[in-house]
Amino acid sequence: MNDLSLYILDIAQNSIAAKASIIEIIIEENASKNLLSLTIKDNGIGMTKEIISKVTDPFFTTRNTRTVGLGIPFLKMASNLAEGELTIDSTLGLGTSIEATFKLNHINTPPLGAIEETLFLLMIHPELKDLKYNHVVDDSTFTFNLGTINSILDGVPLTEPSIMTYLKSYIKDNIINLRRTL
Amino acid sequence: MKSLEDLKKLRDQAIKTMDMRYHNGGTRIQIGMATCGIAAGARPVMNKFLEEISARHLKDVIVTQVGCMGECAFEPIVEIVEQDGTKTIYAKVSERMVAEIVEEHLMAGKRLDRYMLGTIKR
Repeated sequence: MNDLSLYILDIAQNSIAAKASIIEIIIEENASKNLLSLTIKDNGIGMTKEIISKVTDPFFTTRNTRTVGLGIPFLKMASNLAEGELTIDSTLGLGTSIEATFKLNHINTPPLGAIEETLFLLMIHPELKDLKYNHVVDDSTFTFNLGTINSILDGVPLTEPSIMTYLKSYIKDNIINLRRTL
Repeated sequence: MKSLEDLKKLRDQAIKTMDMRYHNGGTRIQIGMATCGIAAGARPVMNKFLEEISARHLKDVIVTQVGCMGECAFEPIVEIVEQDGTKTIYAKVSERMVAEIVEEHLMAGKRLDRYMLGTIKR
């Protein structure tokens, strides 16, 4: 995996597999603390303490197609390589929240990547009722939620060519704008 | 800066030109979107399928993301399930192959043997 947007897509697929209907993605970049934090929260089925302690092990998985599960171990590795850490908070029946931190200026900190492509694929996922995205760069914030978009679209599919192109560039431009120092 | 006001305008334009008959009975394209698929490049492949299909106005095709298909070494894997249940599996699909699969398989009804991992007839 080359960038954060791919890790986000991967972890969000875990949320969907855990029957989540709402996913919240929070990215905070704080230059004064030299910290980048990525949080993915869901309202899925949650995990027991026992499972939480096992998920960072690449030889643990809940699926039955094969015996390895690399999603969470990859994110943990990426974060540890950038002097950050991975924390998992989960309650059975309520949902899971996974946070990965990175030292912002560390050479191993992955770039954000094409986040608009990740968000778009999640937006069109039939199992998801809402997707919330919150991106903070120092004092500026960009928030986005699928509920608002769907109410504007009022039945017009997200995959209509003009809508699809517009939404991707809307997300991309707003994030570029966050980084623009005043 | 782009705002959601513009989205409303686009939506109103789109509704005038689009065909509202979106139905679920047609062909289903399933793309493996687990760790193995994502790492191998399934995300741009899926986005390309969405673009190609909407640009060509194919109304009876659904593109969905699924979990691990169990053959991680062949990812990105794209499985096309026809209305009669026949399944075709394309392996190591790249963005470049997508337009060809859409044109040949979906529109002309010809399977692309050279990209195929296999097929299951119903």
